[in-house]
Amino acid sequence: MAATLVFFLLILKASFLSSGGLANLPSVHQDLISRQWAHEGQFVEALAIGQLAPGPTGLWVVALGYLARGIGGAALAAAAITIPPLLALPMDRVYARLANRPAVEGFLFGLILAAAGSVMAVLFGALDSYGIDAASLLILLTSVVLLGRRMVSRGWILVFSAAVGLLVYR
Amino acid sequence: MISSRLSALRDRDGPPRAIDVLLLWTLIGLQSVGGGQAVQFYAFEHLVKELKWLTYDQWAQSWGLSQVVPGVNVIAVSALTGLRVAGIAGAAAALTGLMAPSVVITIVLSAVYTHVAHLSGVHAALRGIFAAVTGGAVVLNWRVGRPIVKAARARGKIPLVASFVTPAAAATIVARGWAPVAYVLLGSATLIALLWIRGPH
Repeated sequence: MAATLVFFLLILKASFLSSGGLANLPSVHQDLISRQWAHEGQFVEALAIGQLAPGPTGLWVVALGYLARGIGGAALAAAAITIPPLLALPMDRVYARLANRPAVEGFLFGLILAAAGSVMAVLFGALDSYGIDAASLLILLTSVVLLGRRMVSRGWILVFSAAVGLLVYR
Repeated sequence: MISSRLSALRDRDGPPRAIDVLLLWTLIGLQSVGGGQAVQFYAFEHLVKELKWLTYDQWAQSWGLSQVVPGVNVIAVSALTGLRVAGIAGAAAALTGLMAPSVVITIVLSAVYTHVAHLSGVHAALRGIFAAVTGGAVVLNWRVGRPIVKAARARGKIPLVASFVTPAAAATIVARGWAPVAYVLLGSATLIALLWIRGPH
């Protein structure tokens, strides 16, 4: 029971300190791995399942909650990522006054920059735990080029990457 | 099916009710494979362009605010636009429409995965998809980071250097496990905020 509460609070903390659906990854990763509540492979699986499901990218945490702690974990994870953005409702009235303050803008930018770096560190770390090989680099670079140039929809990239994964890693 | 539901919403008389908001956000959520950008695209298309429940300014204000609140941006967008269209019941309806079906599908996919995970092909496919997730994150961070670097350059050399050093330093500290992630994020945010206060506005 206490562990379940801590699990919820850890995801809630990570989400309060994030901007965007992936930005809570570094904190959740550090906290759950250090407690041995999840392992590297579950992060890889959860992030991939999150891509397959519709809706916000942030739902990868729900998949992780399920893989780590079953249906209750998934429900708690869903609640933990839903609460922080709801701050928007009370902030709606004061936002116009806050928006252009340099301190607010700088704080947000700093958060985004640090999250960008740490998200990439965790993702490459997880990739490296399997060994970064030619196939994973091929998929990675292909998705960077195709998404960066907006050439195909994400659905096609999912099909392509799953097919290459099946061919090479099976 | 989606277009017929949409035209039913369009042909209704009177202001949209919470139930209409629920239906619309359910459609938006289920249409959006590919994360927040897809949600943003469909939400704008339906709310502003097709149904005209929101003006462009109302949309822009909701979107702007969603960028400064913590967590998943599109969750904030759904709640805010629901609030503008149909009050607090609208906010709850939009949130439920966006989240409930997608959360259920995510749980079902995870449950199916745990049952078939022992099959060698399944994990292999997910490994492939994970590499694509990493590629997608490179693109996303580039898109989010580039305007910040531009804004930093307009503020001078030190902010510009800081905008490069901050992600690199954060990546190193997190990869090596030198400090709790929360400290890294809050420290970086405070540092850049201080630079922003000091510099030209």
